[in-house]
Amino acid sequence: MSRILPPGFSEREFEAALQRFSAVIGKPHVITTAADLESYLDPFAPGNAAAYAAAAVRPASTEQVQAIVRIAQELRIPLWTVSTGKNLAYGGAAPRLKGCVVLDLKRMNHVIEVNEELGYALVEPGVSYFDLYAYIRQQGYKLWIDPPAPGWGSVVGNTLERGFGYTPYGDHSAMQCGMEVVLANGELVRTGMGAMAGSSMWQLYKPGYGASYDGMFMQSNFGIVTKLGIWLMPQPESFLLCHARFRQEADLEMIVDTLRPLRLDGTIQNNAVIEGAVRWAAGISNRERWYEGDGAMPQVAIERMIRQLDIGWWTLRFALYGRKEVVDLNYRIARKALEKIPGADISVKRYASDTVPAVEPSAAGDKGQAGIPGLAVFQMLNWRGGNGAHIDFSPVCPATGRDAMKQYRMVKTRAGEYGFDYYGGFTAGLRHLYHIFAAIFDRGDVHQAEQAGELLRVLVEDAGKQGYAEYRSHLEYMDLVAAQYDFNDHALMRLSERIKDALDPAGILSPGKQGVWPASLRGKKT
Amino acid sequence: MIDRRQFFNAVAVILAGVLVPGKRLMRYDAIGNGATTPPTMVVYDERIPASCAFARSVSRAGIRAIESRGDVGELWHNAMRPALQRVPHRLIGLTLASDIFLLKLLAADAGMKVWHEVPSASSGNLVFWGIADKVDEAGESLAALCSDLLVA
Ligand SMILES: Cc1cc2nc3c(=O)[nH]c(=O)nc-3n(C[C@H](O)[C@H](O)[C@H](O)COP(=O)(O)OP(=O)(O)OC[C@H]3O[C@@H](n4cnc5c(N)ncnc54)[C@H](O)[C@@H]3O)c2cc1C
Repeated sequence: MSRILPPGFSEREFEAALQRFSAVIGKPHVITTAADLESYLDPFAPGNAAAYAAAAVRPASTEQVQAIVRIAQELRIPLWTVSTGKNLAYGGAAPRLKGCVVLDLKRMNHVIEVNEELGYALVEPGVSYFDLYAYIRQQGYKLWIDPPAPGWGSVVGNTLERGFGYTPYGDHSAMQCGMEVVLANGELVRTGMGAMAGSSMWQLYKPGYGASYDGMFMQSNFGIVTKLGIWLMPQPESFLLCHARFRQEADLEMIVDTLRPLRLDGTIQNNAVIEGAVRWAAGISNRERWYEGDGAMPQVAIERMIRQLDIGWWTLRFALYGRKEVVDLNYRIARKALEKIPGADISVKRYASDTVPAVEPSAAGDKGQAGIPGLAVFQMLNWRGGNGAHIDFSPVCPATGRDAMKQYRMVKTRAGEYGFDYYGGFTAGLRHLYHIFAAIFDRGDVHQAEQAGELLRVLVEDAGKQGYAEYRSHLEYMDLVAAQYDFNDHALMRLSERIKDALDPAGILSPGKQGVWPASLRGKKT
Repeated sequence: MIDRRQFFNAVAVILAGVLVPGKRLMRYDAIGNGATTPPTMVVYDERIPASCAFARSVSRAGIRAIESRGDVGELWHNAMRPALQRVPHRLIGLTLASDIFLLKLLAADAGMKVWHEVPSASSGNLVFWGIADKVDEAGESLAALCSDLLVA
């Protein structure tokens, strides 16, 4: 197999560039062998996982990042930034453009500060949710983190992708406060109050003075974030985890319409989740137990599965946090509302945070709502057997029952046509829902993997026609998803391109990220 | 000191029930003078009877058995990674495919290599696997351990 090189580079030129990187960060941290570069393949690629990384560099400090960027800028080497590179279902640590050098920040793994009094942390990109959780526990701080379902990801990487978790601090980009960013010319910038050298408010007041730029560095290729502030929730006095099971497929509409006012008036403060039956079943069983035929599981098989496992067509998970009296009152309000849905079956578990030893929830989805990181969610990979993988379709949806039902029907029908079960659910923000559908496939089955890829493409197009779009996407569909944002003949993309050209005229930072290409590559969009 | 013969035979008996057809299990006696060193840790899933039986036999030979409690991520961060920092290790397990998928990536981040994976033909998506630190004597012996047990 011939070596992958940055566009326009000869082997000799690239070798010389690698030596310059080595001089900055040390040879062991410049990754070049095919075996070691396997970490930069997308393990869940919808089709064959093509090798795209020419090399990877793993700096240990902001100064090293700046030095690498300056070299890349001088030599015109495209860099693809990852923090922990666990962006599975959306491309993992793989770059969008063939020939990129992956700028892997996992060695920058310091928790710089945790402030218990004011409830925040300042972290480097290599700090995972597991790391931050362990640090807080070790120090005995009475603070919670808010992990996404897989706890091995980076606090910085996930927040920059506008990822979400399941406590009241679940909207990560909203909980971010203050960034340090290396620009394409190597210059170091701090956002918000961090722009004032002597300020003690970097992690306390996000806007600062004048224009605010934090959002500009999210899901973007305008800079490399080397430090990020994140707010942490004070450990609640008590919390309550609730599961509400619903009997009918059509109940989705009422569930969403019942949940919305409870979210909007603050009765339910966390990102509640409405899980479909297959998603719930995949956490506790395998598909072959219910259906061994080809194609998507037929309705009768799903109904049999629901009966035998005694699960809901839909299950709503939510949690309530705070002083016991407040939790009890909110629970009574939520329960009364949910009981109006015929057949609702509500169960609840209460926890006090100050018991020693602490009694903690053990089920995977429950832990996330209690701020405990884990990886149990990956159990779903076994659903179809073989080497399980999945690729996600993640449209945002208005928080109304009719929209949720419309999106659900649309996705379920299409998924069925391509032979995929509806493994999905809705995570409830305040006015929107994140609708997450995972097309689960066996990596060993090329046809299945390709079908998953094709299904995703069709879903993006279907959704676009209905005025819906994804909040985030796999590398393969970044251009297609960006194209759905088409107001005034794609004016937003033109703005992004102007900013890109001004900040990164050489186009070295994450080319193609979210569909934004540097001028030199714009004609080559795929 | 671990009795190698006892180890191999016990493991072979358990694995015979779950591994792919077409792979034959060798008993220790038949391996002859195989220079295989037994592993240092076995990971099992307490929800799966075959996995428990496997761990029981292996731990009888004095090898530390650790249960995944349905979350190898927690297991890795709380129990495995701290232990692995101290001594070179050879890990084996009979777990769900998703668990070895995760352990592979976690181990690779920690500079370890996966040496062997054998999927099961029986239901439940079980995989027999081994992971070692690096290409050294210990790593090679782990590869040998896995392949000694299985002859295509
Ligand atoms: C089974 C499963 C369940 C999942 N559940 C959730 C969930 O509940 N919530 C959720 O949010 N996600 C979820 N995900 C998606 C994903 O795994 C997580 O979002 C994960 O945290 C992303 O990977 P990471 O943190 O390692 O980020 P990285 O892979 O390091 O980064 C992601 C992207 O952000 C950009 N980036 C990263 N670091 C920087 C930087 N320092 N500067 C500039 N740009 C940067 C890059 O474009 C990079 O590709 C799930 C995935 C799977 C497979």
